[in-house]
Amino acid sequence: MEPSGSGARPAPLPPGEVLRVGAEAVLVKGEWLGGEALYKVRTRKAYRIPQIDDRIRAERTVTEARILASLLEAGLPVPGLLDVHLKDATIVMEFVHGARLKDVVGPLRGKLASIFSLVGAGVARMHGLNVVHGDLTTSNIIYESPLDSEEIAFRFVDFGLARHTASVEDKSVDVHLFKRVITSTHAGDYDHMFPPFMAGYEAHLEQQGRPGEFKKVERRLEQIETRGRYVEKSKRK
Amino acid sequence: MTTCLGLESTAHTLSAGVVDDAGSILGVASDTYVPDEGGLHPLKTSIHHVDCFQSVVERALGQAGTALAGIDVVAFSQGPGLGPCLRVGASVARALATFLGVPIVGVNHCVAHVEIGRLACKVDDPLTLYVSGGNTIVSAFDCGRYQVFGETLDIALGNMLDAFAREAGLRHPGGPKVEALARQSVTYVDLPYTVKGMDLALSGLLTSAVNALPGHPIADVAFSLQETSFSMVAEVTERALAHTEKREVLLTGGVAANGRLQEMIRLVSEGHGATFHAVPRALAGDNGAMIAWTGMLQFKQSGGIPVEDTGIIPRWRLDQVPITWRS
Repeated sequence: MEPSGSGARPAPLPPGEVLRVGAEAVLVKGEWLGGEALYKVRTRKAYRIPQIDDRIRAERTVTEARILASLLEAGLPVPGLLDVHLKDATIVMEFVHGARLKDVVGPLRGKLASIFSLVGAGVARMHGLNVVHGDLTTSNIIYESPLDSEEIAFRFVDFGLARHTASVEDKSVDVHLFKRVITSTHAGDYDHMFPPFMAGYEAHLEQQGRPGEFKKVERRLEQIETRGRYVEKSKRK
Repeated sequence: MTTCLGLESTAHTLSAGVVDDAGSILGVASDTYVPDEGGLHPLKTSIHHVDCFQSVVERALGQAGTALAGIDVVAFSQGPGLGPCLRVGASVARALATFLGVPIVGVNHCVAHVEIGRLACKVDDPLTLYVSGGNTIVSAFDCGRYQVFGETLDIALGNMLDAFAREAGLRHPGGPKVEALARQSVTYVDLPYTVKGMDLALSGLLTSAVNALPGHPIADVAFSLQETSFSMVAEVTERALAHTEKREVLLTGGVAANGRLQEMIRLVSEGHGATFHAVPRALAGDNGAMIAWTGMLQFKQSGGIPVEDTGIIPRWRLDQVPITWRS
Protein backbone atom coordinates (compact mmCIF):
# COMPACT_ATOMS: atom_id res chain seq x y z
CA MET A 1 0.00 0.00 0.00
CA GLU A 2 1.02 3.62 -0.43
CA PRO A 3 -0.42 5.78 2.34
CA SER A 4 1.09 9.02 1.14
CA GLY A 5 2.08 10.87 -2.01
CA SER A 6 1.53 14.56 -2.44
CA GLY A 7 1.92 14.34 -6.19
CA ALA A 8 -1.39 12.52 -6.46
CA ARG A 9 -3.23 15.23 -4.51
CA PRO A 10 -1.85 18.62 -5.52
CA ALA A 11 -3.00 21.62 -3.51
CA PRO A 12 -5.22 24.01 -5.45
CA LEU A 13 -3.80 27.49 -4.89
CA PRO A 14 -5.55 30.74 -5.83
CA PRO A 15 -3.80 33.10 -8.29
CA GLY A 16 -1.40 35.50 -6.62
CA GLU A 17 1.98 35.76 -4.99
CA VAL A 18 2.93 32.95 -2.60
CA LEU A 19 4.18 34.81 0.47
CA ARG A 20 4.98 32.01 2.82
CA VAL A 21 4.84 28.27 2.97
CA GLY A 22 4.14 27.75 6.63
CA ALA A 23 3.85 24.61 8.68
CA GLU A 24 0.09 24.64 8.50
CA ALA A 25 -0.85 26.57 5.40
CA VAL A 26 0.32 28.47 2.35
CA LEU A 27 -0.26 32.21 2.40
CA VAL A 28 -1.05 33.77 -0.97
CA LYS A 29 -1.40 37.51 -1.59
CA GLY A 30 -4.28 37.62 -4.03
CA GLU A 31 -7.29 39.68 -4.96
CA TRP A 32 -10.77 39.78 -3.54
CA LEU A 33 -13.47 42.04 -4.98
CA GLY A 34 -10.81 44.22 -6.58
CA GLY A 35 -8.77 44.78 -3.41
CA GLU A 36 -5.77 42.94 -2.04
CA ALA A 37 -6.44 40.00 0.23
CA LEU A 38 -4.62 37.21 2.00
CA TYR A 39 -5.61 33.67 1.07
CA LYS A 40 -4.78 31.15 3.74
CA VAL A 41 -4.88 27.73 2.12
CA ARG A 42 -4.53 24.68 4.33
CA THR A 43 -2.63 22.57 1.89
CA ARG A 44 -2.72 18.83 1.87
CA LYS A 45 0.04 17.31 3.91
CA ALA A 46 1.85 14.64 1.96
CA TYR A 47 2.78 12.83 5.14
CA ARG A 48 -0.79 12.40 6.38
CA ILE A 49 -3.22 9.87 4.95
CA PRO A 50 -6.27 11.57 3.38
CA GLN A 51 -8.62 10.26 6.10
CA ILE A 52 -6.69 12.20 8.73
CA ASP A 53 -5.60 15.09 6.53
CA ASP A 54 -9.05 16.02 5.19
CA ARG A 55 -10.57 15.84 8.67
CA ILE A 56 -7.90 18.01 10.30
CA ARG A 57 -7.88 20.62 7.52
CA ALA A 58 -11.66 20.98 7.40
CA GLU A 59 -12.02 21.12 11.19
CA ARG A 60 -9.34 23.74 11.53
CA THR A 61 -10.68 25.90 8.69
CA VAL A 62 -14.15 26.06 10.20
CA THR A 63 -12.87 26.71 13.72
CA GLU A 64 -10.45 29.41 12.59
CA ALA A 65 -13.10 31.27 10.57
CA ARG A 66 -15.59 31.19 13.43
CA ILE A 67 -13.05 32.41 15.94
CA LEU A 68 -11.77 35.18 13.69
CA ALA A 69 -15.35 36.36 13.28
CA SER A 70 -16.00 36.40 17.03
CA LEU A 71 -12.74 38.23 17.81
CA LEU A 72 -13.44 40.83 15.12
CA GLU A 73 -16.84 41.43 16.58
CA ALA A 74 -15.23 42.09 19.95
CA GLY A 75 -12.77 44.53 18.39
CA LEU A 76 -9.54 42.61 18.89
CA PRO A 77 -6.58 43.39 16.60
CA VAL A 78 -6.95 40.51 14.13
CA PRO A 79 -7.28 40.46 10.32
CA GLY A 80 -10.75 41.01 8.88
CA LEU A 81 -12.55 37.91 7.63
CA LEU A 82 -13.68 38.18 4.01
CA ASP A 83 -14.65 34.71 2.79
CA VAL A 84 -14.36 30.99 3.47
CA HIS A 85 -13.98 28.21 0.87
CA LEU A 86 -14.49 25.02 2.80
CA LYS A 87 -13.86 22.67 -0.10
CA ASP A 88 -10.32 24.02 -0.57
CA ALA A 89 -9.79 24.60 3.17
CA THR A 90 -9.23 28.27 2.37
CA ILE A 91 -9.91 31.42 4.37
CA VAL A 92 -9.80 34.83 2.65
CA MET A 93 -8.67 37.62 4.97
CA GLU A 94 -7.80 41.27 5.01
CA PHE A 95 -4.17 41.78 3.96
CA VAL A 96 -2.20 43.11 6.94
CA HIS A 97 0.95 45.11 6.12
CA GLY A 98 3.84 44.67 8.55
CA ALA A 99 6.56 42.33 9.76
CA ARG A 100 6.56 39.25 11.94
CA LEU A 101 7.40 40.44 15.45
CA LYS A 102 10.06 37.69 15.54
CA ASP A 103 11.93 39.41 12.70
CA VAL A 104 11.93 42.94 14.12
CA VAL A 105 12.93 42.26 17.72
CA GLY A 106 16.35 43.87 17.07
CA PRO A 107 15.13 47.27 15.83
CA LEU A 108 12.36 47.32 18.45
CA ARG A 109 14.66 46.50 21.35
CA GLY A 110 14.11 49.87 23.07
CA LYS A 111 10.36 49.39 23.42
CA LEU A 112 9.95 45.67 23.74
CA ALA A 113 8.51 46.03 27.24
CA SER A 114 5.73 48.37 26.05
CA ILE A 115 4.96 46.09 23.10
CA PHE A 116 4.81 42.93 25.17
CA SER A 117 2.68 44.60 27.80
CA LEU A 118 0.14 45.41 25.06
CA VAL A 119 0.44 41.87 23.71
CA GLY A 120 -0.30 40.61 27.23
CA ALA A 121 -3.34 42.85 27.50
CA GLY A 122 -4.54 41.61 24.07
CA VAL A 123 -4.18 37.98 25.06
CA ALA A 124 -6.03 38.69 28.32
CA ARG A 125 -8.87 40.23 26.30
CA MET A 126 -8.92 37.21 24.00
CA HIS A 127 -8.99 34.87 26.99
CA GLY A 128 -11.77 37.02 28.46
CA LEU A 129 -13.82 36.09 25.38
CA ASN A 130 -13.05 32.45 26.14
CA VAL A 131 -10.81 32.04 23.11
CA VAL A 132 -7.31 30.55 23.31
CA HIS A 133 -4.93 31.11 20.41
CA GLY A 134 -3.27 27.70 20.65
CA ASP A 135 -0.07 28.77 18.88
CA LEU A 136 1.01 32.07 20.38
CA THR A 137 4.45 32.81 18.99
CA THR A 138 6.35 35.90 17.95
CA SER A 139 5.85 34.71 14.36
CA ASN A 140 2.10 34.96 14.81
CA ILE A 141 2.08 38.61 15.77
CA ILE A 142 2.36 41.03 12.85
CA TYR A 143 3.90 44.34 13.84
CA GLU A 144 2.21 47.07 11.81
CA SER A 145 3.67 50.38 13.00
CA PRO A 146 6.77 51.87 11.39
CA LEU A 147 9.76 50.64 13.41
CA ASP A 148 10.95 54.14 14.25
CA SER A 149 7.55 55.42 15.29
CA GLU A 150 6.27 55.93 18.83
CA GLU A 151 2.99 54.31 17.94
CA ILE A 152 2.58 50.58 18.62
CA ALA A 153 0.13 48.60 16.52
CA PHE A 154 0.08 44.89 15.83
CA ARG A 155 -2.33 42.12 14.95
CA PHE A 156 -2.63 38.60 16.19
CA VAL A 157 -2.73 36.23 13.24
CA ASP A 158 -2.96 32.50 12.57
CA PHE A 159 -5.84 31.20 14.60
CA GLY A 160 -5.37 27.76 13.11
CA LEU A 161 -5.11 26.06 16.48
CA ALA A 162 -7.44 28.45 18.33
CA ARG A 163 -10.38 27.14 20.33
CA HIS A 164 -13.35 28.35 22.28
CA THR A 165 -12.78 27.33 25.87
CA ALA A 166 -13.48 28.73 29.29
CA SER A 167 -10.99 26.57 31.15
CA VAL A 168 -8.20 28.14 33.17
CA GLU A 169 -6.02 25.19 32.14
CA ASP A 170 -6.34 25.98 28.42
CA LYS A 171 -5.68 29.68 28.93
CA SER A 172 -2.66 28.91 31.07
CA VAL A 173 -1.31 26.47 28.47
CA ASP A 174 -1.61 29.32 25.95
CA VAL A 175 0.55 31.52 28.19
CA HIS A 176 2.91 28.62 28.88
CA LEU A 177 3.46 28.00 25.15
CA PHE A 178 4.20 31.68 24.58
CA LYS A 179 6.69 31.66 27.44
CA ARG A 180 8.33 28.57 25.93
CA VAL A 181 8.70 30.30 22.56
CA ILE A 182 10.29 33.31 24.24
CA THR A 183 12.76 31.17 26.20
CA SER A 184 13.67 29.07 23.18
CA THR A 185 13.75 31.77 20.48
CA HIS A 186 14.44 35.04 22.31
CA ALA A 187 16.37 33.82 25.35
CA GLY A 188 18.45 37.02 25.52
CA ASP A 189 15.40 39.32 25.49
CA TYR A 190 13.34 37.30 27.96
CA ASP A 191 13.30 40.01 30.66
CA HIS A 192 11.86 42.57 28.24
CA MET A 193 9.27 40.15 26.93
CA PHE A 194 7.68 37.75 29.35
CA PRO A 195 7.47 39.79 32.59
CA PRO A 196 5.90 42.78 30.74
CA PHE A 197 3.56 40.36 28.96
CA MET A 198 2.34 39.05 32.32
CA ALA A 199 2.07 42.58 33.70
CA GLY A 200 -0.07 43.62 30.73
CA TYR A 201 -2.22 40.52 31.13
CA GLU A 202 -2.73 41.30 34.80
CA ALA A 203 -3.38 45.01 34.25
CA HIS A 204 -6.15 44.26 31.75
CA LEU A 205 -7.94 41.92 34.12
CA GLU A 206 -7.58 44.41 36.97
CA GLN A 207 -9.16 47.11 34.80
CA GLN A 208 -11.99 44.72 34.14
CA GLY A 209 -12.38 44.23 37.87
CA ARG A 210 -11.40 40.57 37.64
CA PRO A 211 -7.98 40.36 39.31
CA GLY A 212 -8.81 36.90 40.64
CA GLU A 213 -8.66 35.49 37.13
CA PHE A 214 -5.06 36.56 36.76
CA LYS A 215 -4.13 34.81 39.98
CA LYS A 216 -5.79 31.64 38.70
CA VAL A 217 -3.84 31.70 35.44
CA GLU A 218 -0.61 32.57 37.22
CA ARG A 219 -1.02 29.72 39.68
CA ARG A 220 -1.96 27.21 36.98
CA LEU A 221 1.05 28.31 34.92
CA GLU A 222 3.34 27.34 37.79
CA GLN A 223 1.63 23.96 37.99
CA ILE A 224 1.99 23.37 34.27
CA GLU A 225 5.69 24.16 34.39
CA THR A 226 6.33 21.70 37.19
CA ARG A 227 4.26 19.10 35.35
CA GLY A 228 6.78 18.89 32.48
CA ARG A 229 9.00 15.90 32.05
CA TYR A 230 12.04 15.57 34.28
CA VAL A 231 11.25 18.53 36.50
CA GLU A 232 12.96 18.12 39.86
CA LYS A 233 10.64 16.51 42.40
CA SER A 234 11.41 19.28 44.90
CA LYS A 235 9.75 21.80 42.56
CA ARG A 236 6.63 19.68 42.21
CA LYS A 237 3.60 20.63 44.21
CA MET B 1 45.02 9.83 20.47
CA THR B 2 42.54 9.90 23.37
CA THR B 3 40.01 7.09 23.83
CA CYS B 4 36.82 7.31 25.83
CA LEU B 5 34.78 4.43 27.23
CA GLY B 6 31.08 5.28 27.48
CA LEU B 7 28.50 3.46 29.58
CA GLU B 8 24.77 3.69 28.89
CA SER B 9 22.24 2.41 31.42
CA THR B 10 19.25 4.78 31.49
CA ALA B 11 16.57 2.17 30.74
CA HIS B 12 16.36 -1.31 29.27
CA THR B 13 19.78 -1.34 27.59
CA LEU B 14 23.17 -1.73 29.23
CA SER B 15 25.71 -0.72 26.62
CA ALA B 16 29.39 0.15 26.38
CA GLY B 17 31.14 2.02 23.58
CA VAL B 18 34.69 3.07 22.81
CA VAL B 19 35.47 6.11 20.65
CA ASP B 20 38.56 8.14 19.90
CA ASP B 21 38.88 11.91 19.74
CA ALA B 22 38.66 11.88 15.93
CA GLY B 23 35.12 10.53 16.19
CA SER B 24 35.85 6.94 15.18
CA ILE B 25 33.60 4.43 16.90
CA LEU B 26 36.06 1.68 17.80
CA GLY B 27 33.66 -0.66 19.55
CA VAL B 28 30.10 -0.87 20.85
CA ALA B 29 28.38 -3.75 22.65
CA SER B 30 24.94 -3.95 24.27
CA ASP B 31 22.64 -6.21 26.24
CA THR B 32 18.95 -5.33 26.35
CA TYR B 33 16.60 -6.50 29.08
CA VAL B 34 13.40 -8.08 27.76
CA PRO B 35 10.78 -8.70 30.47
CA ASP B 36 8.86 -11.99 30.39
CA GLU B 37 5.64 -10.04 30.74
CA GLY B 38 4.51 -6.46 31.27
CA GLY B 39 6.74 -3.43 30.93
CA LEU B 40 10.11 -2.53 32.39
CA HIS B 41 10.35 -3.03 36.14
CA PRO B 42 13.17 -0.64 37.15
CA LEU B 43 14.65 -2.91 39.82
CA LYS B 44 14.54 -6.09 37.71
CA THR B 45 16.06 -4.15 34.82
CA SER B 46 18.90 -2.91 37.03
CA ILE B 47 19.61 -6.48 38.20
CA HIS B 48 19.94 -7.47 34.55
CA HIS B 49 22.45 -4.61 34.09
CA VAL B 50 24.50 -5.73 37.09
CA ASP B 51 24.64 -9.27 35.71
CA CYS B 52 25.80 -8.28 32.23
CA PHE B 53 27.97 -5.17 32.56
CA GLN B 54 31.25 -7.04 32.75
CA SER B 55 30.76 -9.04 29.57
CA VAL B 56 29.37 -5.99 27.73
CA VAL B 57 32.39 -3.84 28.64
CA GLU B 58 34.75 -6.67 27.70
CA ARG B 59 33.06 -7.13 24.31
CA ALA B 60 33.27 -3.41 23.55
CA LEU B 61 36.95 -3.28 24.52
CA GLY B 62 37.58 -6.44 22.46
CA GLN B 63 36.03 -4.87 19.37
CA ALA B 64 38.11 -1.77 19.91
CA GLY B 65 41.21 -3.94 20.20
CA THR B 66 42.22 -2.22 23.41
CA ALA B 67 42.72 -3.27 27.00
CA LEU B 68 41.11 -1.43 29.91
CA ALA B 69 44.47 0.22 30.51
CA GLY B 70 44.20 1.89 27.08
CA ILE B 71 41.17 3.96 28.15
CA ASP B 72 41.86 7.65 28.85
CA VAL B 73 38.41 8.88 29.91
CA VAL B 74 35.32 7.15 31.31
CA ALA B 75 31.88 8.62 30.50
CA PHE B 76 28.49 7.48 31.73
CA SER B 77 24.87 8.45 31.25
CA GLN B 78 24.06 10.49 34.35
CA GLY B 79 20.38 11.01 33.42
CA PRO B 80 17.55 11.24 32.62
CA GLY B 81 16.33 7.70 33.23
CA LEU B 82 15.28 5.04 35.72
CA GLY B 83 17.09 5.55 39.02
CA PRO B 84 18.12 1.93 39.73
CA CYS B 85 19.39 1.51 36.16
CA LEU B 86 21.31 4.78 36.12
CA ARG B 87 22.95 3.80 39.40
CA VAL B 88 24.48 0.68 37.81
CA GLY B 89 26.19 2.61 35.02
CA ALA B 90 27.34 5.33 37.41
CA SER B 91 28.78 2.81 39.87
CA VAL B 92 30.65 0.91 37.17
CA ALA B 93 31.98 4.19 35.71
CA ARG B 94 33.17 5.44 39.12
CA ALA B 95 34.87 2.13 39.86
CA LEU B 96 36.62 1.99 36.48
CA ALA B 97 37.73 5.64 36.52
CA THR B 98 39.05 5.33 40.07
CA PHE B 99 40.81 2.03 39.32
CA LEU B 100 42.38 3.39 36.13
CA GLY B 101 43.10 6.80 37.65
CA VAL B 102 41.50 8.57 34.66
CA PRO B 103 38.95 11.44 34.47
CA ILE B 104 35.21 10.72 34.66
CA VAL B 105 32.48 12.60 32.77
CA GLY B 106 28.70 12.54 33.33
CA VAL B 107 26.65 12.80 30.13
CA ASN B 108 23.03 13.80 29.51
CA HIS B 109 21.42 10.91 27.63
CA CYS B 110 19.29 13.15 25.39
CA VAL B 111 22.26 15.33 24.42
CA ALA B 112 24.12 12.13 23.52
CA HIS B 113 21.36 11.08 21.10
CA VAL B 114 21.74 14.40 19.28
CA GLU B 115 25.56 14.34 19.25
CA ILE B 116 25.90 10.78 17.93
CA GLY B 117 23.39 11.72 15.21
CA ARG B 118 25.45 14.73 14.21
CA LEU B 119 28.54 12.52 14.07
CA ALA B 120 27.02 9.52 12.30
CA CYS B 121 24.99 11.51 9.73
CA LYS B 122 27.65 14.20 9.24
CA VAL B 123 25.19 17.01 9.88
CA ASP B 124 26.12 20.27 11.53
CA ASP B 125 23.09 22.10 12.87
CA PRO B 126 19.97 19.94 12.59
CA LEU B 127 16.47 20.20 13.91
CA THR B 128 16.30 16.94 15.85
CA LEU B 129 13.27 14.73 16.39
CA TYR B 130 14.19 12.34 19.17
CA VAL B 131 11.60 9.60 19.67
CA SER B 132 12.14 6.68 22.02
CA GLY B 133 10.52 4.74 24.81
CA GLY B 134 11.18 7.54 27.26
CA ASN B 135 11.35 10.70 25.18
CA THR B 136 9.54 12.57 22.40
CA ILE B 137 11.38 15.85 21.82
CA VAL B 138 11.83 18.28 18.95
CA SER B 139 14.92 20.37 19.60
CA ALA B 140 17.49 22.57 17.92
CA PHE B 141 20.63 24.39 18.98
CA ASP B 142 20.19 28.04 19.97
CA CYS B 143 21.82 30.31 22.55
CA GLY B 144 24.22 27.62 23.79
CA ARG B 145 21.60 24.94 24.46
CA TYR B 146 19.60 22.31 22.70
CA GLN B 147 16.35 24.21 23.12
CA VAL B 148 13.17 22.18 23.26
CA PHE B 149 10.70 23.43 20.66
CA GLY B 150 8.11 20.72 21.15
CA GLU B 151 7.66 17.66 23.29
CA THR B 152 5.08 15.24 24.58
CA LEU B 153 2.96 16.59 27.40
CA ASP B 154 2.39 13.10 28.79
CA ILE B 155 3.85 9.79 27.58
CA ALA B 156 6.59 9.14 25.02
CA LEU B 157 5.88 7.83 21.53
CA GLY B 158 7.77 4.55 22.04
CA ASN B 159 6.14 4.04 25.41
CA MET B 160 2.72 4.52 23.79
CA LEU B 161 3.45 1.94 21.08
CA ASP B 162 4.81 -0.52 23.66
CA ALA B 163 1.84 -0.01 25.99
CA PHE B 164 -0.60 -0.52 23.10
CA ALA B 165 1.19 -3.69 22.05
CA ARG B 166 1.05 -4.98 25.60
CA GLU B 167 -2.70 -4.33 25.82
CA ALA B 168 -3.08 -6.12 22.49
CA GLY B 169 -1.26 -9.17 23.87
CA LEU B 170 2.05 -8.60 22.08
CA ARG B 171 5.35 -8.92 23.90
CA HIS B 172 7.81 -6.16 24.73
CA PRO B 173 9.23 -4.37 22.77
CA GLY B 174 6.02 -3.70 20.87
CA GLY B 175 7.12 -1.03 18.39
CA PRO B 176 8.39 -3.35 15.64
CA LYS B 177 5.35 -5.64 16.06
CA VAL B 178 2.94 -2.70 15.75
CA GLU B 179 4.82 -1.57 12.64
CA ALA B 180 4.52 -5.03 11.05
CA LEU B 181 0.79 -5.18 11.83
CA ALA B 182 0.23 -1.66 10.50
CA ARG B 183 1.74 -2.66 7.17
CA GLN B 184 -1.08 -5.20 6.73
CA SER B 185 -3.86 -2.58 6.78
CA VAL B 186 -5.09 0.54 5.01
CA THR B 187 -8.33 0.85 6.97
CA TYR B 188 -8.41 3.91 9.18
CA VAL B 189 -10.28 3.88 12.48
CA ASP B 190 -11.03 7.41 13.76
CA LEU B 191 -8.71 8.29 16.66
CA PRO B 192 -8.14 11.61 18.48
CA TYR B 193 -5.41 13.88 17.15
CA THR B 194 -3.99 16.15 19.85
CA VAL B 195 -1.48 18.85 18.92
CA LYS B 196 -1.20 21.81 21.27
CA GLY B 197 0.93 24.45 19.63
CA MET B 198 4.30 22.78 19.26
CA ASP B 199 3.56 20.12 21.86
CA LEU B 200 1.50 16.97 21.60
CA ALA B 201 -0.33 14.60 23.91
CA LEU B 202 -0.47 10.84 23.38
CA SER B 203 -2.20 9.27 26.37
CA GLY B 204 -5.75 9.94 25.15
CA LEU B 205 -4.85 8.45 21.80
CA LEU B 206 -3.49 5.35 23.52
CA THR B 207 -6.70 4.93 25.53
CA SER B 208 -8.87 5.34 22.40
CA ALA B 209 -6.78 2.84 20.46
CA VAL B 210 -6.97 0.27 23.26
CA ASN B 211 -10.74 0.82 23.49
CA ALA B 212 -11.05 0.31 19.71
CA LEU B 213 -9.38 -3.10 19.89
CA PRO B 214 -12.47 -5.23 20.67
CA GLY B 215 -14.46 -3.84 17.71
CA HIS B 216 -11.77 -3.77 15.01
CA PRO B 217 -9.08 -6.03 13.53
CA ILE B 218 -5.82 -5.40 15.39
CA ALA B 219 -4.03 -4.51 12.13
CA ASP B 220 -6.53 -1.68 11.46
CA VAL B 221 -6.04 -0.24 14.94
CA ALA B 222 -2.23 -0.57 14.68
CA PHE B 223 -2.31 1.20 11.31
CA SER B 224 -4.56 3.97 12.63
CA LEU B 225 -2.53 4.41 15.79
CA GLN B 226 0.71 4.74 13.83
CA GLU B 227 -0.79 7.08 11.24
CA THR B 228 -2.37 9.33 13.87
CA SER B 229 0.56 9.51 16.29
CA PHE B 230 3.21 9.82 13.57
CA SER B 231 1.17 12.56 11.85
CA MET B 232 1.08 14.46 15.13
CA VAL B 233 4.83 14.08 15.61
CA ALA B 234 5.43 15.06 11.98
CA GLU B 235 3.23 18.13 12.33
CA VAL B 236 5.08 19.27 15.46
CA THR B 237 8.38 18.70 13.63
CA GLU B 238 7.11 20.72 10.68
CA ARG B 239 6.02 23.58 12.93
CA ALA B 240 9.44 23.69 14.60
CA LEU B 241 11.16 23.47 11.22
CA ALA B 242 9.12 26.37 9.83
CA HIS B 243 9.86 28.37 12.98
CA THR B 244 13.62 27.67 13.25
CA GLU B 245 14.29 27.49 9.50
CA LYS B 246 17.01 24.87 10.03
CA ARG B 247 18.37 23.23 6.85
CA GLU B 248 18.81 19.70 8.23
CA VAL B 249 16.44 17.34 10.03
CA LEU B 250 17.75 14.50 12.18
CA LEU B 251 15.56 11.60 13.27
CA THR B 252 16.90 9.62 16.20
CA GLY B 253 15.94 7.41 19.16
CA GLY B 254 14.59 3.87 19.17
CA VAL B 255 11.43 4.71 17.19
CA ALA B 256 13.59 6.21 14.42
CA ALA B 257 13.89 2.64 13.10
CA ASN B 258 10.21 2.75 12.04
CA GLY B 259 10.02 2.91 8.23
CA ARG B 260 6.71 4.76 8.09
CA LEU B 261 7.91 7.43 10.54
CA GLN B 262 11.07 7.88 8.47
CA GLU B 263 8.95 8.31 5.35
CA MET B 264 6.79 10.98 7.01
CA ILE B 265 9.68 12.99 8.44
CA ARG B 266 11.45 12.79 5.08
CA LEU B 267 8.37 14.32 3.42
CA VAL B 268 8.22 17.06 6.06
CA SER B 269 11.92 17.87 5.55
CA GLU B 270 11.75 17.91 1.77
CA GLY B 271 8.64 20.08 1.90
CA HIS B 272 10.72 22.78 3.60
CA GLY B 273 13.89 22.32 1.56
CA ALA B 274 15.75 20.67 4.42
CA THR B 275 17.79 17.50 4.12
CA PHE B 276 16.58 14.42 6.00
CA HIS B 277 18.85 12.17 8.02
CA ALA B 278 17.87 9.09 10.00
CA VAL B 279 20.49 7.91 12.46
CA PRO B 280 21.56 4.36 11.51
CA ARG B 281 19.65 1.75 13.50
CA ALA B 282 22.69 0.59 15.50
CA LEU B 283 23.28 4.12 16.83
CA ALA B 284 19.68 5.38 16.96
CA GLY B 285 18.65 3.31 19.97
CA ASP B 286 20.36 3.61 23.35
CA ASN B 287 24.05 2.74 23.01
CA GLY B 288 27.38 3.30 24.74
CA ALA B 289 29.06 4.90 21.72
CA MET B 290 26.85 7.98 21.98
CA ILE B 291 27.77 8.38 25.64
CA ALA B 292 31.46 7.88 24.84
CA TRP B 293 31.39 10.45 22.01
CA THR B 294 29.48 13.08 24.00
CA GLY B 295 31.76 12.42 26.98
CA MET B 296 34.72 13.00 24.67
CA LEU B 297 33.28 16.34 23.48
CA GLN B 298 32.68 17.43 27.06
CA PHE B 299 36.08 16.22 28.23
CA LYS B 300 37.94 18.07 25.49
CA GLN B 301 36.07 21.28 26.32
CA SER B 302 36.09 21.24 30.10
CA GLY B 303 37.86 18.12 31.39
CA GLY B 304 36.48 15.61 33.88
CA ILE B 305 34.25 16.20 36.90
CA PRO B 306 34.96 15.43 40.59
CA VAL B 307 33.61 12.04 41.73
CA GLU B 308 31.41 13.90 44.25
CA ASP B 309 29.50 15.36 41.30
CA THR B 310 28.80 12.02 39.65
CA GLY B 311 25.49 11.38 41.41
CA ILE B 312 22.73 10.34 39.03
CA ILE B 313 20.13 12.88 37.82
CA PRO B 314 16.97 10.86 37.00
CA ARG B 315 15.11 14.02 35.90
CA TRP B 316 17.44 16.07 33.74
CA ARG B 317 15.99 18.03 30.88
CA LEU B 318 17.79 18.31 27.56
CA ASP B 319 17.55 22.11 27.67
CA GLN B 320 19.23 22.32 31.10
CA VAL B 321 22.61 21.29 29.69
CA PRO B 322 25.05 24.00 28.53
CA ILE B 323 26.48 22.83 25.19
CA THR B 324 29.94 24.29 25.70
CA TRP B 325 31.55 22.60 22.69
CA ARG B 326 29.29 24.38 20.17
CA SER B 327 28.96 28.06 19.45
